Amino acid sequence: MNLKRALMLAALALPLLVALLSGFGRDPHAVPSMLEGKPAPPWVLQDLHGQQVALADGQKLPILLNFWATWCYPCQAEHALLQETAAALQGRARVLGIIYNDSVEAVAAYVAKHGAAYPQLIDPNSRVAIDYGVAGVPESFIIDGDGIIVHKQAGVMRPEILHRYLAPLLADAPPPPLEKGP
Amino acid sequence: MPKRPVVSLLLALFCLVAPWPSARAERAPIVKMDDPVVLSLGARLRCPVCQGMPIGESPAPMAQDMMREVRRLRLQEGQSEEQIAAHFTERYGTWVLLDPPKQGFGLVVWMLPPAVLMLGLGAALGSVAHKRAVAAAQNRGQNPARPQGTTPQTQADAELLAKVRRQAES
Amino acid sequence: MYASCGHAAAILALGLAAAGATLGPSVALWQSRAGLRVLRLLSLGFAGMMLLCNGIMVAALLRHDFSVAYVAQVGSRATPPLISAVSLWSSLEGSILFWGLILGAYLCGFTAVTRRQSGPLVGWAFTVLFAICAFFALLIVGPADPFGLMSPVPADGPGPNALLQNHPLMIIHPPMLYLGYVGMSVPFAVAIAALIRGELPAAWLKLLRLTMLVPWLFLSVGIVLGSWWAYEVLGWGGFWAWDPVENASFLPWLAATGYLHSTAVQERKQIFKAWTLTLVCASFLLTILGTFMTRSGVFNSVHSFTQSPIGPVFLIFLAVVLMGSLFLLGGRAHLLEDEGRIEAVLSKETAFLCNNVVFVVFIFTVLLGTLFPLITEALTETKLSVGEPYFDRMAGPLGLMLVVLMGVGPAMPWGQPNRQALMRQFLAPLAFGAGVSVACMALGLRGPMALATFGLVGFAAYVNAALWLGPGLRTARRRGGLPFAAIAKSMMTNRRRAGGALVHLAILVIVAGITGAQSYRQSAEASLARGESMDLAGYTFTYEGAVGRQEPHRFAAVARMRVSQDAKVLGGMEPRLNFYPSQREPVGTPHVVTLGSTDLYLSLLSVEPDGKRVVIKAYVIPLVSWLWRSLPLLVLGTLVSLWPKKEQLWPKEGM
Repeated sequence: MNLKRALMLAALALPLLVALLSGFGRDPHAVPSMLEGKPAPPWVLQDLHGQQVALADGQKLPILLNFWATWCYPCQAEHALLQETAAALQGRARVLGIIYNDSVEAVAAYVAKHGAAYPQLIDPNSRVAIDYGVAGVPESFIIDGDGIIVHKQAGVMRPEILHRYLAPLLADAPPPPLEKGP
Repeated sequence: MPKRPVVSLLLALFCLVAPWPSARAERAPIVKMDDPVVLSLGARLRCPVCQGMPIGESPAPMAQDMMREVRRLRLQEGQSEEQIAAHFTERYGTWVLLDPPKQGFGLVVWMLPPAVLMLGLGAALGSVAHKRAVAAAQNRGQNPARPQGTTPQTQADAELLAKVRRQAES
Repeated sequence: MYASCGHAAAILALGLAAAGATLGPSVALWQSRAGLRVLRLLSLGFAGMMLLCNGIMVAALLRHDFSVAYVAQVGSRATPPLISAVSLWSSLEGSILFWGLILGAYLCGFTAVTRRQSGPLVGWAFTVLFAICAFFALLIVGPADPFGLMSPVPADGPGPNALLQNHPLMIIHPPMLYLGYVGMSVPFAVAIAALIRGELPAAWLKLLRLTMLVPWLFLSVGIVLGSWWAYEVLGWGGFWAWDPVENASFLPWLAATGYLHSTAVQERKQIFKAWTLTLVCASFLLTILGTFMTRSGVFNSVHSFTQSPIGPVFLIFLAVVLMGSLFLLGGRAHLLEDEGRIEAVLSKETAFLCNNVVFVVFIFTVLLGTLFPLITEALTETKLSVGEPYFDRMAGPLGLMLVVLMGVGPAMPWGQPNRQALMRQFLAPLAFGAGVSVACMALGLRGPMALATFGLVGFAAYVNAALWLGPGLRTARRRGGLPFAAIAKSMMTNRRRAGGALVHLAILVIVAGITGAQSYRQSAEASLARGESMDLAGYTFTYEGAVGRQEPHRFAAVARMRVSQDAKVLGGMEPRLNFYPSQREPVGTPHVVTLGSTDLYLSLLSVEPDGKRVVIKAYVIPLVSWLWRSLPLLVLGTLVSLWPKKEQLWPKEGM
């Protein structure tokens, strides 16, 4: 029994095992976030009422941009939080929704039922979604007053995220604490 | 080896099974002819919401939208293949290209297999040639009359020899 | 109640396997015949318990007993009974349960095949096998328990994945693959026993080959069936995408095939021992690695199940088996010293050596490509993809080298050949191969790579056909009589040679099919209104109308297409879109028709609600049907190789 050679050969297995071990805890489907720290790509889209809305509207307010669809359960779950945020931050930040891969009728019916506190924008051929590197819904982008993307949230929006990234961007006196969602 | 019967048998087999793939392919016009750059990118870009499929082959709406964007960038804005590829990697990361990048760490996966193949074949053939040279030198030194190419008789060899003899005699 | 019975049976199986694994070493060391009898009884017991577990689960699935966790996960009242039964292996926990069943069957098979033997080698092989059985029983009892109780009991379940309900091939492809994967445990156990004992007698070597051929056959069939299923179901006319899970099945196949070639040389010339035993261990290790890749959730793949507690357990098992095998291989080097040697650079042995190298490099390449995204992310925190184009580019030359070796290897003589005879040997096959290339060019085919491949396939096919038919034809010519009878007799006399030649021919048919399909396929996409047509490769596809069909578990929108060629109507095709209640996007079923050797393939991409317009994607793919048509030849060749001879394979005394 050649012990030295046996141990050396067995040790060869370690790099492979370490590599496999490192895969745990990572989500193999997660898409890397490329646009953080970069200027948000500009766009001009129509909302449900036919009004033109642009990313930059001259006021330099921070923006919460949310890509969603009615067929996506997590999107429905976060809708209430987004409504509240839009209402609470009226005039101090803009909340905008961009419809991803859904029919206008379905969205109109949904907001008629669940509330339309902020504009819903139609994105033909998902051009804006592709521009922002969206790989699924829901995805939200927090953009500061100068148009730089501060944070990309893939998945359901949570109050802590808003607190951490959106709150510091608000211009005036410390804002009232964001109400936690239901 | 009898050549004629085998050849004719093979030709017959071949004729029976042969595909005679249609050489008339060039004749009929194809309905939707895409720009070659668009087709190439359709095979190179990965659909972000599918599992490892290129956008040109996936039926997912996202893939279709990305193909439309590729067409728009190519046909309306006249961008080159690399510009369009860069457009997507800026937004999604290098991950959106199905091929690993041919630079940086990605080079490893491009260079390693051919290198290992050449090293492996070289080492194998080299060791055979080396052992032959050594054995030839030994043989010449030891016993010039001893015929080359004898392997020690083993049980299996003896069995095989007996079998061959039986077959030759049958 | 049934669920607890199932769980109890699994615990019992675990106990039996653990007992066997604990008893085994003593049986081996003390060479106790009584002990061997006990081991054999334990193996029957394990198999029986596994049969019971699986039977209970299938019964629960058929009865739609949603109190059982697994049934609640994959069952549904709307699913037809056959699909309900088959969903035993459609999801993770059930697939491990199924694995246990097949492991039990192979354990019984091993018991039967070694029933007249006694001796330490058998004891050690049993030990290893029982240890593997114990691991999988542990999974069934613990992390992958399908028998959990649901409370409250749901009224209905989601049903199996829609893709799995579309095609009959889904019924046979997984069992075939499992029979292949699981079976790799047996030759592994045989090899480890040899390494532990430090001896590899001729009869044990024969057993090793036999126990490898059976799972190899199932794995080969499973892989081809899987490609066929992908082709018929997934809708883009492709059959192999180098997805991590496809690679998980291909890697053990490569190792096993490499072993089968290496052992041919070892049995004749007493060389390549290191290669042979390493390749056997590799085939089992790659099986476990592949199972880890599919079930750990660590890899992004079409097949992969979500991350589950089973992942870390599998990794530990893989670590133990991998390091243990390497330890034994490294430490028992004295066993692996070659007794013979290669006589000449230009010889069959060298061809086999190159074969071994190419197989190992192939394994390395596919493994590297599959693991590379993971490695990159671990080392550099960036994400990159290694996709189909990369693998096609790398595998192409390697596959081509194997084709060349398939021609050169069998034609080369052993030992030291006479140069003149050698040149005469190769003249006819090379001429035939060149003739094939020229004939293809004359037919209008272009593309140097494809033409070269066809030529090389022709060259190798000539060599193997001559090997298969040659001896019989020679005898018939010499003695008169029917060539057919002489060929059959020559096949039975030298089964390995004939079987090997047939299998090579089957593989060459597959290679030709792949080349034709990849190099000469054409496709087009069109949006058609009623009565409109599209042309592709001389065929015209006309949209006649759409029809809706309500089935118990889904709704299908069927597009009626008329196919004609040169204004003559050939028939109709009906690609469809299936709408399942549990899924947002419909799942398409393409319609494939094989005309001679060319496939016409239609996919329905979308249909307007009133059926006024449809979007159809049409493909014309030559030679792809050859891939599946090769199967009978592959099976025949393997069976010829496997067929036992009347004389005994090993002496009655123990070893």
